[in-house]
Amino acid sequence: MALFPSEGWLKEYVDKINSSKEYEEAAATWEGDLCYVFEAEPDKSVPNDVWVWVDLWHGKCRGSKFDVTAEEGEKAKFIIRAPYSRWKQVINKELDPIKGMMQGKLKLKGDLPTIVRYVKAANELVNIAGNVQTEFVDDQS
Amino acid sequence: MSLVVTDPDLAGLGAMLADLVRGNIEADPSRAKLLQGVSGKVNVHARDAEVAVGMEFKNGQLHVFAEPFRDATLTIETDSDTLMGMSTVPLRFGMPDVAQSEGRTVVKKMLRGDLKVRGMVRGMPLMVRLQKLLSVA
Repeated sequence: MALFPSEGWLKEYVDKINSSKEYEEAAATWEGDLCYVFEAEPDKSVPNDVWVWVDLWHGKCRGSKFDVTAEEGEKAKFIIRAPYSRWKQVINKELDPIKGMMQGKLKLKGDLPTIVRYVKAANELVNIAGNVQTEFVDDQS
Repeated sequence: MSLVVTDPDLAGLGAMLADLVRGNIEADPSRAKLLQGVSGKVNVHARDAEVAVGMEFKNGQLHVFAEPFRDATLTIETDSDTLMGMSTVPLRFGMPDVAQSEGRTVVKKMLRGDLKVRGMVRGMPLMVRLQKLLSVA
């Protein structure tokens, strides 16, 4: 069980990306890095924004960094940000990410036509996140 | 002159549609012509997300609002996945190409009522231009 958000959770996530045939197929021509921002919610044990960087290339994740600085994270081609509890809903598959974006619950920065073109790959990335055995930091006893 | 005009605090579906049109025009500036010589109001409703926005073609610009219009010429209503998918459907004369499976899927959704387009006849020029502006296929 990996604690979210943590470096251990990111490692599990990256391993699952790299072993996913569905993602490999959907993102076969994808080139570009992505930052997830888990926005701070101090009352839920997330005192600061957490920036997670993943380098996605042709259906694989060829690099990742946990808790990069905002300055470094801003350089990513795409940034998806939301408060921690929204991400928790996404990982628990209680919130569909496309629907969440349309509702303004998740915010995307980057070239939207590219994301739309690769919407299946984006959905797969979320599905993979939901498949990581996760313990959430605010559920810890 | 900005071709796509939005409220500064526009978020969610409205911001996505505006960004999609902006991105497509940036990638292919000839698409800016699609904004010229047409006027009318379009509502887009993502049923499952319970979000609806208004878009107005006016004076060579596309204005995107956080609220739908009461007097829209054309209304597109469907679920969020279908709405997103409409941008990736190959087009023929600005409409989904029924010679391809993705195009036939859109038509099937219309026949089943999963995708409702109201005002299609009067709003056909708007529909065609909007499809072309939003298409990433």
